Amino acid sequence: MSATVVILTSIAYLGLLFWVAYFAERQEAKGRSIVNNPYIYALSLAVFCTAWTFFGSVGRAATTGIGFLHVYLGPVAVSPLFVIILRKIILISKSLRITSIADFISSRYGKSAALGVIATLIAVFAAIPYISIQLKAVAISFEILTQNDPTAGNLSGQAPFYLDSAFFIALALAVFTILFGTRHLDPNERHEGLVAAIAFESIIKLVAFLAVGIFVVYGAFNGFGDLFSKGMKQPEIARILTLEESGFDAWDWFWSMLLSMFAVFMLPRQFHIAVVENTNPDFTKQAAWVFPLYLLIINIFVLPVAVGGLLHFTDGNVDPDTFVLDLPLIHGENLLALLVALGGFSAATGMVIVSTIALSIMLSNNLVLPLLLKSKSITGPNVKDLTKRLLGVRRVLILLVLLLAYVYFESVGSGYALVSIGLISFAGVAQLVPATIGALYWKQGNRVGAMAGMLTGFAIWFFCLPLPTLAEAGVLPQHITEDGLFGIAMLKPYALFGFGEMAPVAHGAFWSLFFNTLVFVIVSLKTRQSTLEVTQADLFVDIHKYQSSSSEFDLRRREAKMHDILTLMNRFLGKERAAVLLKKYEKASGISLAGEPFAAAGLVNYAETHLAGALGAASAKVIINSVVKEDPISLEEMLEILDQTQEAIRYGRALEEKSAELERTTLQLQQANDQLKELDRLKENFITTVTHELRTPLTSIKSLSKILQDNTDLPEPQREEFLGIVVSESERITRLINEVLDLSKLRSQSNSWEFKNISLPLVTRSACAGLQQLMKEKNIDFTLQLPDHELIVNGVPDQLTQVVVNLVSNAIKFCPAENGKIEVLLKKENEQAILSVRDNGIGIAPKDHSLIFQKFTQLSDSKTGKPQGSGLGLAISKEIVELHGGKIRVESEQGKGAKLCVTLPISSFAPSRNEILKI
Amino acid sequence: MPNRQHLTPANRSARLFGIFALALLTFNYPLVQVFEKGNLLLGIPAIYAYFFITWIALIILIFKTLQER
Repeated sequence: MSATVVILTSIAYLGLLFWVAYFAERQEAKGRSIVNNPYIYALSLAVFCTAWTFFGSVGRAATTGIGFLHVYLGPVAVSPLFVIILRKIILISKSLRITSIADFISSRYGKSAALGVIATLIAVFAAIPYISIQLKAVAISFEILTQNDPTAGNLSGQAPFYLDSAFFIALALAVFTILFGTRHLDPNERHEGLVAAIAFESIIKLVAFLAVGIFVVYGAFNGFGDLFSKGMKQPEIARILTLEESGFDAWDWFWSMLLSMFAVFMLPRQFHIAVVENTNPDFTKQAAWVFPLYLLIINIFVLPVAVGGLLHFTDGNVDPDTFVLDLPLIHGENLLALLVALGGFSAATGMVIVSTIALSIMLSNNLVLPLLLKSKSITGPNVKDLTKRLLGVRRVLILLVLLLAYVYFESVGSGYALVSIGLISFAGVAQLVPATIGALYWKQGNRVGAMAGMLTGFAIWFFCLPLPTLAEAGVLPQHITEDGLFGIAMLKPYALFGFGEMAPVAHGAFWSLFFNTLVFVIVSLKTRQSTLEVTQADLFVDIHKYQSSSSEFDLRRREAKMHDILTLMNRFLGKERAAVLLKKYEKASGISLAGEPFAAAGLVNYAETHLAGALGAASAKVIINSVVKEDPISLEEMLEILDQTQEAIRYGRALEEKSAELERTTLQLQQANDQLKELDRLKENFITTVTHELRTPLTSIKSLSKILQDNTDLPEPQREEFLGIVVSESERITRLINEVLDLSKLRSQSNSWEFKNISLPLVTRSACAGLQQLMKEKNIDFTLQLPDHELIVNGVPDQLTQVVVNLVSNAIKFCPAENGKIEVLLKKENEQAILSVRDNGIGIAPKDHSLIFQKFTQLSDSKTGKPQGSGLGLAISKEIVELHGGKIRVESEQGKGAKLCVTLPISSFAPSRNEILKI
Repeated sequence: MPNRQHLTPANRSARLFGIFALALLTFNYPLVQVFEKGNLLLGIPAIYAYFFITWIALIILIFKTLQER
């Protein structure tokens, strides 16, 4: 095939791409966007499949069998998480107008410029070799097609650059990318044309690969069965159809899969297409199954083509990476070969275009702009509109990236298979993973930690993976790989710390990510966050909170002169766009900006967010800070504001507590009410009882007096008896009235009682003395036991005497008629005076223990009937004892006698002898 | 009737994480080792057939989970 045909076809294809992009943008302008579609989005994600997939997979399959598949299994495994992780990243990025993965990390960790630089450098270092293999793939396919010779794929790389097709391919791609991707400044405006073109390329490469696959399986062979059974007959081919021969053990396989899983989020081009160019976060829902389906279809024919190639080219002169081209060519299918080349070309161009755009955005926003801002060359007062100049910077950077890729290809890359270089790139961008996951889910992760972790990981990655390739290519001395750094055996790039059994990629990925994560976590925990880091962390981790409540993203109180803000927006966004944005702001906020001397915090934030969309978060921060006066807000205040949610939770909890308290109070009130009702009932009972008690003796007095009045002739002895009864009944009434009066007096007059230090033994003795006569009459055996020492209590002598009398007379009442026995015991126990009175009467059943101290309780016995007395004695005693700060209780069982105990506190100070009142 | 069930966002997330874990397990050792005998299954190398069948199953699982409401 002549070179002219190939070149013309390629140019025609690029023209077609332009038309697709143009068409998409026209449709968008008409409001009928074709890109605003979940399936187009999912197809554009297939930019993941590059020339590496298109040519390299077959090459890899021809040497290691299944060993190509992990690159796709990783993304497939992680695709269910698109809806969770990718969606969250998109939400955050849309809110903050994030422009790249480096911008994302820098923005999360306090809009740190340094962090942006580090992340950018990692991304560039990792991506350049990857871009270079695209150049290699395109160059090889060009050679093969034009020379019609399968062995032409072994590029020697000896030609001078002006005769080298790869050089011109790099230049052509640079021009194409510049024309394509740098028309606007704000990448968040999205390039609908670009996305449409990428989706279109995804279809082309899929169709081309399926075409060659079907041709090989059904054209060159008779279906899968024929192909594989022929393959199985050759030992070298049968060998690669097993897992063993893939050269992977469990550990390598796992790590390779993990790396490709990370790559699908972290690679600059993936981030650009999946996040920056995304039009709707909900598209992730369709992408989660369409993307793995795409990968499935494009991988079905990889192994068959590899086996077919091995069956055809048995002499080993043909590079397996080019089997997809060689097989149609050798069968004379030139048109198919051209289609395949176009498929490879589309895979490569898609990757190169998006990668270089993403890298140029990163480099200009995170590396070049901060330098320019420092030099003041673009912040001076004479500069009017910088958008053109910034676009110029991006164009130069695109060219630079592609030239770097070409240089890498010429010096190192041509000696390596496509896949090995791709995997090294994967391990490189994986260094951004710990900081990114921390950004999404770990608020304590901070700037210093992220920086330390990324630098550590990057250094180890560089030492373990790219460095040996440089050494092998002769750029660096070879002995580092063989003897270790500085001749230290522990520092061999392929056997760090003596772990040499792993495959290089798994080895490098493991050590770099291990230390990356470890350093990130430890340093984050040991260092403090700045105020801005705290707000950004909250915004990133809790993006759903901000989404639903439309809270202010930036809580800082800032103010700037309106003039300054307007100048900045005009300068960096262009006059037209600035005017449009300000009109939008006025409409949304309802504030008229004309004539306002100062811009409030809201407008400052608005301006910063939009500047960030054009310049990156870190640069926008620097620019805004140059004109803004910030009201210092302390970390504590900031935390307080962020704690709003916790505040609400606390408030809710306080409310709950309050209502619980209310419930408790209600319960208490109810209890008090019940008590009052009970008291009321008691009082009524009391009155009923008292009147009843009064009526009984009164009735007998009345009737006896009437008999005496009516029968004046009553015999003398009977009259005497009646009069005696009248007298004793009157006495009973008097006693009853006295006791009732006593009881009511107790409460009302206790205030005027005079408490004195008195000797309790003396009181007890004198009280008992008055009752001894009565006990003698009843033949009661009485014992009084008093302590040897003095027992002083603070009390009212008369009242305490009353208590002793009450208790002892109570005992007398219940003593049996014969062999009655009463014991009075006074002792000191635990700094308290205890007076107990024991009898051997009928006793009190436990259920009545609490009853006996109630007023008018008279325990009746079926045998003995109602005992004498009013039933007020114990109630009065209880009242008195309690007024003295003491307690009274009963210990008894039915039939075993009763023991009543009074406990009184002993007076705290020891009185002198003469102070003790003698009774 | 699984389609009738209401799938809360938390439930859906848990199920998606479950599919993710399942994918990691099925695509890795030791499960893949079962098929490394090197024989043909329906005319296709066994290990190959294993990967593609589980792959299709996963896509169906993801699709079903995201369709449910």
